Amino acid sequence: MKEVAVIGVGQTRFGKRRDASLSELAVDALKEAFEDSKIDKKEVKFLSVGNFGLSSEDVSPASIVAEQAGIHGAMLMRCEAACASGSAAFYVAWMAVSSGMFDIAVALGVEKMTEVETPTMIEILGRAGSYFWEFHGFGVTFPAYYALYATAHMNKFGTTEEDLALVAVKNHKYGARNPKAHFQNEITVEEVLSSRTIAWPLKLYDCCPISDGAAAVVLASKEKVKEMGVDTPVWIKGIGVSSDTSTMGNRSDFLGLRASREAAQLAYKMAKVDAKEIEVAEVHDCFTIAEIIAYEDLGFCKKGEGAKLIREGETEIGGKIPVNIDGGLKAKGHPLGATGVSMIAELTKQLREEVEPSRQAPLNKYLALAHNVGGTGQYCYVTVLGR
Amino acid sequence: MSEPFITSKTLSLVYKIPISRIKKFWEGLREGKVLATRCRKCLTLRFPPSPICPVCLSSDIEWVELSDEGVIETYTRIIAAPASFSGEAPYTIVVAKMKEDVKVLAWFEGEKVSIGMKVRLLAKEEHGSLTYRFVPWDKEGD
Repeated sequence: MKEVAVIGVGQTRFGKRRDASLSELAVDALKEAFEDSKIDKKEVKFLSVGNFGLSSEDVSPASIVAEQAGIHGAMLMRCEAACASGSAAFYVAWMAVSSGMFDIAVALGVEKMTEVETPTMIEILGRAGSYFWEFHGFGVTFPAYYALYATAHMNKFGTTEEDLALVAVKNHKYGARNPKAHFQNEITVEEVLSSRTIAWPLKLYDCCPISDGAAAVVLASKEKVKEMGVDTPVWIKGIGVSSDTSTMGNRSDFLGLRASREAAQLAYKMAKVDAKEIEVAEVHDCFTIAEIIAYEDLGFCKKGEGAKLIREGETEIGGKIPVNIDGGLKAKGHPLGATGVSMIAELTKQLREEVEPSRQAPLNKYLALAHNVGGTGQYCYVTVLGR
Repeated sequence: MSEPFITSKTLSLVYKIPISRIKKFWEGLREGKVLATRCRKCLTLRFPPSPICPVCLSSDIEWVELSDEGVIETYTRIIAAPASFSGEAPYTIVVAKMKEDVKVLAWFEGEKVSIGMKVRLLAKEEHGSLTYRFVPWDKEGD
């Protein structure tokens, strides 16, 4: 297996991007990634496109994007793993290079979610679980799936609605420092608690927004990195993937995501690092409870102590492990297919110490972790990056 | 400040979902029973019912009626409904562990809801379609 590095990244601003179509956003991100990596687009013969789809007009966007980005004669595909579609695209691009089949591969993530009405988008997202057994008869929404986990976590470990609110407050704080974030405003615990209920106990400000956006990363083999003389390659040191049941009735419990724990163990093992060594993390906070559960599943704290970690400020810059200091899905936004790729783009910039100084993590070992969940833990990808 | 746009052609999607392999489930609901499948080879009980056993992949399965007795493992109350449920909100979703150790997700009809609460599973016909619901244990089916 060849060593693979991220040699260039690009990302559009996330948000309600009614100024641009899906392929236009995609090309904006690709152009930035090509410039950052200094590769010629003629060298791109592998392009995986993370895209959940249904909420925009093109059902097979990979070729449309490739044509507009001037990519010809390439292996093109759309990758779908619900909210982890971007990580699926990243994973196959990593496999393409690590296998020795390609010297360079590009993973793109893109989603347009605001071209349909909001209730339609809620419907599309709700259908990402088991349509037949959970949506058709019972109208389970995406926030409701995570609310099932929140209720159980609160009941078992004493996690409170205020604890959940603290996650939103932290992520907005850093979103306000990220010019590419959907929300760039700080909020208070009171504002979160008084926002309208979406699926109890989750309120509007516990939920990530419906966003448009794109992100792209260029991957290269060690040989290519040497040949190009890349200054600061960011190495994919470990990568793990796992899955779990589609139906909620077949889950063992509602206190954590098994797929997250399994993917994390695989990634740590491959990277030969311990959770304690990670210095900055991007975790999947589609809802505030998801971030608290992720702390536990990724081993940043013991089971049941996730709320304590946020209460004590340990996941802020200056704490034990800064998490989502680009705003996370909660404030940066969650254009489904773009999210997993955006996490890698953000961490690459963190490890190159190129983000806005007010949200740069202090680094010593230069180890970062990305955690991207599809659905309610149906799919999970964990990646360990390092210099 | 609205950005200019073009409205796409309408695509109307309605799926005709095959239920031949699980039609006994719907017959069961009509008779007031909620059925699960049990694999005759490895004895795995499944809900939602599964015409092929996911444990041993055998299709030698039998249909068995679930008891009506469950305990709430978790729940949520949906306020913001999807487009196709817009007139129905708010509604409560629970996942309950049944006596047989399988879990069922369904709506809960009742005032108070909490984890650990005992609930009754009922098959019922509603607006001409067959479904199943949880109600508080002390409430009989209507």
